[in-house]
Amino acid sequence: MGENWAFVAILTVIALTIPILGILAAMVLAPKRPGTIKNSTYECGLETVGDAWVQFKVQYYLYALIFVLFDVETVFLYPWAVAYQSLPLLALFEMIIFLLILGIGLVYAWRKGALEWI
Amino acid sequence: MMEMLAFGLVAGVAVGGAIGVVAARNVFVSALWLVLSFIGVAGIYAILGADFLAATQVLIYVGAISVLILFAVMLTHHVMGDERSNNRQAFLAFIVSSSVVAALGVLAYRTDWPIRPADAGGSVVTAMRGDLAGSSAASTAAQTGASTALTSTVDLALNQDSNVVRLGQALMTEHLLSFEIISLVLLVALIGAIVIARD
Repeated sequence: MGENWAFVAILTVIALTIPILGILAAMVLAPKRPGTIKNSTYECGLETVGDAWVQFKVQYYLYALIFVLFDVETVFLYPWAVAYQSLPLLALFEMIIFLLILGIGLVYAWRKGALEWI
Repeated sequence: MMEMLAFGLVAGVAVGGAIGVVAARNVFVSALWLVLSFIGVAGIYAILGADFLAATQVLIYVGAISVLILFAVMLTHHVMGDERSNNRQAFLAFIVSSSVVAALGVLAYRTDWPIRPADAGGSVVTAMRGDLAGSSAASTAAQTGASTALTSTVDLALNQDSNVVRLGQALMTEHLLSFEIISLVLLVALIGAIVIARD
């Protein structure tokens, strides 16, 4: 138990160290010769118009809601997968039914055009 | 010692994130700080030995709910406009929240928290061990043999039956109907969200 969490701790340390090292290395090593063109918001592509803090489309929220639901589904897949070795074959069919019912939701969202970007 | 250190670290992340939520001038930045606080709470669950709850916290709260909150903030015109969150009611909010914290603290302090063994299987085996130790009839040699055998089963049980495994078994056998109904509830929520959002 404790050893398993040690792996999590090691992973966390590595995950935090690598980006910090990258940023620090860029700060120390990179030559700094700023110019008007280099300081512009975009060095390529179009200059942005107006403020970046604009109101976003409702579509994003719908995507987030659908994501939350399938995320909850993942939560139930997790104990099932961990306990799978000790479960009877019936458990496989139980999970298939579970996924099929949620699949209906995905088909509904698809057919109603909720996944299409307007 | 290690546990105290880990708790201090994780609690620091949770409280630091919460302070960030309150201190940030922009609601969007507050929402980002909230993610850090969620991660700290997941760590606290992990230290308490509730590994499934910790995983759920990361998956649902850090992963999904925070995205939902961020999108909700981005959809709100007032927030994304020039207006910054105001602190006119800061003093009132401080009084309300500190009295809630005080009430919860008193409640937590006065409640008698019974300490149970880490898991049911372990407690059964401990009880059996106690019986074994108590039985004076058994010869010492047999007793040692039996208790070493028991120790190995205990270790095996503790290693294999983490609470995630037992949760999976319970969901698939005892609570099968509720498990399948969960999918229906999720389906209804999904359809409801689509219907409301498309209106």
